[in-house]
Amino acid sequence: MARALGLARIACFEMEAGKDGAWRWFGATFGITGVDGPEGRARLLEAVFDADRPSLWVLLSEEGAAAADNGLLSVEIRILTAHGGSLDLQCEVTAEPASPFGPATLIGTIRDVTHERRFEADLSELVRHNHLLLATIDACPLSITVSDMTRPDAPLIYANRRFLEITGYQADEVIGHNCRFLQGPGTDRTAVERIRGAIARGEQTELRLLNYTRAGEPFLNNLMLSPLRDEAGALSAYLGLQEDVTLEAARSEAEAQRQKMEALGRMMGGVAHEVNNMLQPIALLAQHLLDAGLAQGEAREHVEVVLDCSLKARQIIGDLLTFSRPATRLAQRHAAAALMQDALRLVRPALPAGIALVVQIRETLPDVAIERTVFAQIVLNLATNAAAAMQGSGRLSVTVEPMPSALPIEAPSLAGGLRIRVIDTGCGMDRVTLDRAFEPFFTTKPVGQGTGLGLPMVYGLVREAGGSITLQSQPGIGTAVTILLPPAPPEEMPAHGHHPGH
Amino acid sequence: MATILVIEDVSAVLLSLRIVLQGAGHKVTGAGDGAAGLELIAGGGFDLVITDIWMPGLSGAEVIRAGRAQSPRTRFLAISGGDPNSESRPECLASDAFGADRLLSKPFEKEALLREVALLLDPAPANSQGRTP
Ligand SMILES: Cc1cc2nc3c(=O)[nH]c(=O)nc-3n(C[C@H](O)[C@H](O)[C@H](O)COP(=O)(O)O)c2cc1C
Repeated sequence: MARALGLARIACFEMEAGKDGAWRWFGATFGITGVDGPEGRARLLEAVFDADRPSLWVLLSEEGAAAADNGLLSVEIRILTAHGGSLDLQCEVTAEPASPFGPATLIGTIRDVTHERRFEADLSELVRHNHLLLATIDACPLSITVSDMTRPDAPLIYANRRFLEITGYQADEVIGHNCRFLQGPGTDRTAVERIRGAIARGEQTELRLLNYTRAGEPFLNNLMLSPLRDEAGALSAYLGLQEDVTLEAARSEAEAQRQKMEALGRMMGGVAHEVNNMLQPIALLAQHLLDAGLAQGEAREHVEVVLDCSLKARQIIGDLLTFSRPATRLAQRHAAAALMQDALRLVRPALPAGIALVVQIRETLPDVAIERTVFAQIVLNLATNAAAAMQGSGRLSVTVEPMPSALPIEAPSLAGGLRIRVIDTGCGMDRVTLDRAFEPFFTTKPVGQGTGLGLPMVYGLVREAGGSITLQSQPGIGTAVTILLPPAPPEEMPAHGHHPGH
Repeated sequence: MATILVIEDVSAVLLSLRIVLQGAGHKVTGAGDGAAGLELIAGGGFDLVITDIWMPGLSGAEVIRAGRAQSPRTRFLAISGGDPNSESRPECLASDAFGADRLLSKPFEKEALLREVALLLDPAPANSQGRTP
């Protein structure tokens, strides 16, 4: 019994009400060094921490007996040990009232609960720490997911707040499911294949693939997968980091496009210089042969052809230069609707009879700063291209509207501007053609039918006006050209026709 | 009939200008680069200098600046096929026409050339300001 109490670190004590009314300590027995023996009470009161002394005093006095009359009295105290450490002790007393067989007695136990308290403190520190960690991971601006690889089909066991924000799902809709629910019709199957391969080999991988939000909105997901292994090295889970890079990808594509056009523009400048020089003697000498009467009969006709060709070549070079012309012109402010109506007056007669022109111009539109002729040139070029793609029959729809505010745009200057869309039902373009559509001389029309300068020129003119142009196309369905123009600056625009240095 | 110096590094262009200008009755001297041209201008006596802008060595703009200092009464007509080194800036937008009195973009037609030459040689004051639109 003594051993058992010693092991359990429990001491017992008894106090008896004396004849003089004072309580007598009968001594604690066993268990806890320092409190056994008749001196135990005094030692206890000496060793107890100051903060706990009053409550211990109450317990070991008449008050304690009075309180204990109502049941069990229990306090927890901390004492200083002889070695300078501390012990947590739980003291409990019960009162036995005086009886014919003896005086009133207090029976108490003292239990050493140091280990329990230490463990509890450590545990709550651990819980607090883990909690903090989880909160941090949850609040992380990066989307974080964890899949359990020990369960069939690797279900998600964790998804942080950012993941739910990006995807629009609720936590209970995703936990327990494989993350492939984000994939959809536009998702690149080879990318999925690569993920499957990497997971099968337990490798880390990073790739971009098209995913869909809960609402069906597509977004480009930069996915990073990393295996988590247990102590034995076995694959236990996968960490997945997701990032929505839709806007970033659109920006860098636009930037790559701009750089490509700039490089082409510089090259064209060099070519134009050389060709213009070579055309000069052709134009002058051919004219001279005609004027001086040096070419007669058939020779004269031939020289006329040569002269004509040299002038046409000059026109081509001129168009070519337009596409990369830097913004040097100042344009007047115009009402967008009037601009489009003017341009369409030129477009209508240029369209074959089999093509229906459907025009939608919204009523309230921002003004834009662009030269009237430049605007007409843009629209006319697009319409001519569309007509060629439709081979004589189809529908050409032109819409002019304020730029939707939710539209992600590449430049802040475009905000509040104008959106023009020219959509045809023509043959469309495949990805390769689409990528090169703005390149000068890249033409899909048969030789002699087009110079391949239409779209590059439009590109140049739109950029010059501070706008952006994008193409969407589906082979066999048609092409949509979207032009965004910035709103005219609020201040008074200079008078029309004013060009610096002229 | 005027005395005209043509400075042009592409010999075929120089030849064609010479033939057309001589055909119009002018006395034409040719130079294949800017330095040779400046030397001739220093010798004096030219009513008009027609110079290419983008040439190896001295550029047409430099020739015009130095040439005006040496021969204040001489008129200058710049001809250019576009800047080969930078973005393809249309020459009609060059804000100061490279310091010349007039500027023609290559390739120009014979008629345009003779019109510009006549304009520059005509002493009527109404024609002395303004540049190519
Ligand atoms: C932790 C983790 C996160 C994942 N996150 C995505 C994700 O955000 N988008 C996605 O398309 N696929 C994600 N996947 C990949 C799919 O869950 C699945 O592994 C992939 O589609 C290949 O397997 P399957 O061919 O069986 O579908 C994730 C996978 C893991 C393990």
